[in-house]
Amino acid sequence: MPFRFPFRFDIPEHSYVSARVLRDQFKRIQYSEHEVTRNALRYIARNTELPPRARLEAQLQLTAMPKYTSFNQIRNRCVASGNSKSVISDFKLNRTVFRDRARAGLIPGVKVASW
Amino acid sequence: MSSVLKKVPTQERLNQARQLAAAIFGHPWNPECKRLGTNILRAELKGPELVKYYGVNEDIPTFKDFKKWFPELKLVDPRETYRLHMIQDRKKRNKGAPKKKKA
Repeated sequence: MPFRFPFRFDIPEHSYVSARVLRDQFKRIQYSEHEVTRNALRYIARNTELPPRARLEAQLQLTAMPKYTSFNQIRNRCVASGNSKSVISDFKLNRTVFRDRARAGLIPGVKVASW
Repeated sequence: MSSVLKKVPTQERLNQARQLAAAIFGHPWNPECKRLGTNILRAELKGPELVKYYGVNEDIPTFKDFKKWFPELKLVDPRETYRLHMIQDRKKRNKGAPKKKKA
């Protein structure tokens, strides 16, 4: 079966894997690879002291880059279920998975509040 | 009659002092608040942290690794057997995955 992403990358072994998790991981890797280039272009585009032509050129180059190299394409997903909604960022878990695990006592330091 | 108090230094003089202080302590000097984009260059790279979100594969070995390292132990992953059992169970009820289309 062909690899369905433009670039090959290691499939995460220690988390729940679904097509969407893979897509997110792919974007993360691509973002980190292009981060320096993007920052350089961003710097040129945002620096008001540089000639407008260079700034415009940099901005055009930024927009010409693939979408998957941009930061705002990355979404934190649940590590245990792949869900992207109600992810508690401290635990990287979706709220239902968090609840189940917390009730089972699997998350150190977390217990049901009672006073 | 001259006052005991010294005259307040001019704004220009104060700015000169501030500029000197900035030069000494290595602070940025940008009194007109020009947008120079230096904050982009100064920021730490986010990529290395972001890539680690779903875990680093090399951090801990998986069950598969142990199976590969110790084939003589004939290890069986209970989660894998459960998964296969569930697939068989679904197939019995005709709820399994559809067959691949033949070209």
